[in-house]
Amino acid sequence: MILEPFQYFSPLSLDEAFEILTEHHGEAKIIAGGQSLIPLMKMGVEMPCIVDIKKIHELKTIELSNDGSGKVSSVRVGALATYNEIERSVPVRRNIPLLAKTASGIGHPLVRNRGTIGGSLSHCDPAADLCATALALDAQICITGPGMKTRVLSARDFFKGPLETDLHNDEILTSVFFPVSNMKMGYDVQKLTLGHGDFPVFIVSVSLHYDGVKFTNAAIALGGVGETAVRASECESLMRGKESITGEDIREVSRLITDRYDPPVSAELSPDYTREMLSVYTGKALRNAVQMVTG
Amino acid sequence: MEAQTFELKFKLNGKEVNALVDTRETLLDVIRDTFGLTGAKKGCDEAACGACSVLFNGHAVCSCTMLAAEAHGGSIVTVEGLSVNGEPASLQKAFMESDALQCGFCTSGQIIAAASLLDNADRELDDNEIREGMSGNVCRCGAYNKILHAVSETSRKRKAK
Repeated sequence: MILEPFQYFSPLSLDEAFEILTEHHGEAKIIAGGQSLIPLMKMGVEMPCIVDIKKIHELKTIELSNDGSGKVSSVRVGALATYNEIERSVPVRRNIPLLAKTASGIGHPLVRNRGTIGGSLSHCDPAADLCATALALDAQICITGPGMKTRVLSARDFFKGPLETDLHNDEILTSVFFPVSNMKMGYDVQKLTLGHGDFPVFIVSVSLHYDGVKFTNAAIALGGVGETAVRASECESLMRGKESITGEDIREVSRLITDRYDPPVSAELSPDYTREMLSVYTGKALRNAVQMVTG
Repeated sequence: MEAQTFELKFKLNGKEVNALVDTRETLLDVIRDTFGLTGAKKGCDEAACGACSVLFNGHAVCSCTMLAAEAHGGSIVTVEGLSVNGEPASLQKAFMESDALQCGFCTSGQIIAAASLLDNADRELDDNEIREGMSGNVCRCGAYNKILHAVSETSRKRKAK
């Protein structure tokens, strides 16, 4: 039994949800898949009003989204898409393979059948798999509020701190846009966990774009090394614009990352080990990503 | 705040059921304590062991990390609901034939996870896919190889059909 009593609402539409959120201003907490929220509630964190948005079906869609000219510009992933649905989605696998790969590695299948992208991003754990990958892929977060007022902001601006986002009390994260690139893509995600299926100690998510001559984009996102997931911008600039990325380049980037970022201290792992692993996993992710592009 | 209640209605092993539950109750609590189905077990109670696995709308989930209220309007199948006319399903028979358990505490969860994996697969699964697909279900007796055998045999037989 969860410790503290709470009211439970299950609105059927966004409008109904906003009414409840407004009425219970500041006290209401949205539940999506509940894979982070329910453990928190079991620890005795008080949540007097729970608003379950899972009956709002329009939040489940995953679809290609076109720009004005009819060209596919992004994949829109509804907030309620589960990790399992994202992993299996054809538009995601085809256009945003790093997102599919990340989703397929979250926790274990029982969690993946339940956990959602909207829940993970708005929970905003600094080491969450999807927070790092959303940053690496320059995801745009779509937020809707009362009166269907919608605003869109970058993942970078959305993440504010540990378990803290830009989402206001009366707003709902409704979908996430992932821009589609027509460049050749190289990508990988690597993480350190204590055991298979455990939450990451840290995570490295890498996305490279190659136009046939040079790397036009290089994104490295790190989770678990700070207050939120972060982009290692100073390392990215060492690779962006290059015609090739060599083993020496990768070693330099890995070194720079362990110099600049502090992996978390945990009871189970020594700081030296975790730091060494951050370098090893960054190198591994980059090597795999580069190899996908250059063969 | 006073305890709050919720008028819960859902399909449990094919039958429409309803109950007045405390909003704080997990699906696992309600299945075991209200409906007396004790196949799903309370192990870790934090989605780390899989002993509480049930099928929710066809997919295995941890019933300990789901509010009972969240199941409203959905369909739940527990291990008790897998048998056909009182006979164990072929997957359950495969567990017996493969000797895929020792103490048996995790077995109902293992079988539910396997059912979800096999029902949602469109082809025969290889050993690595089965290992990954069952990786949320811990067996402290270490019957993993025999569990793998049971699931892999069932997958092969289903494909052969």
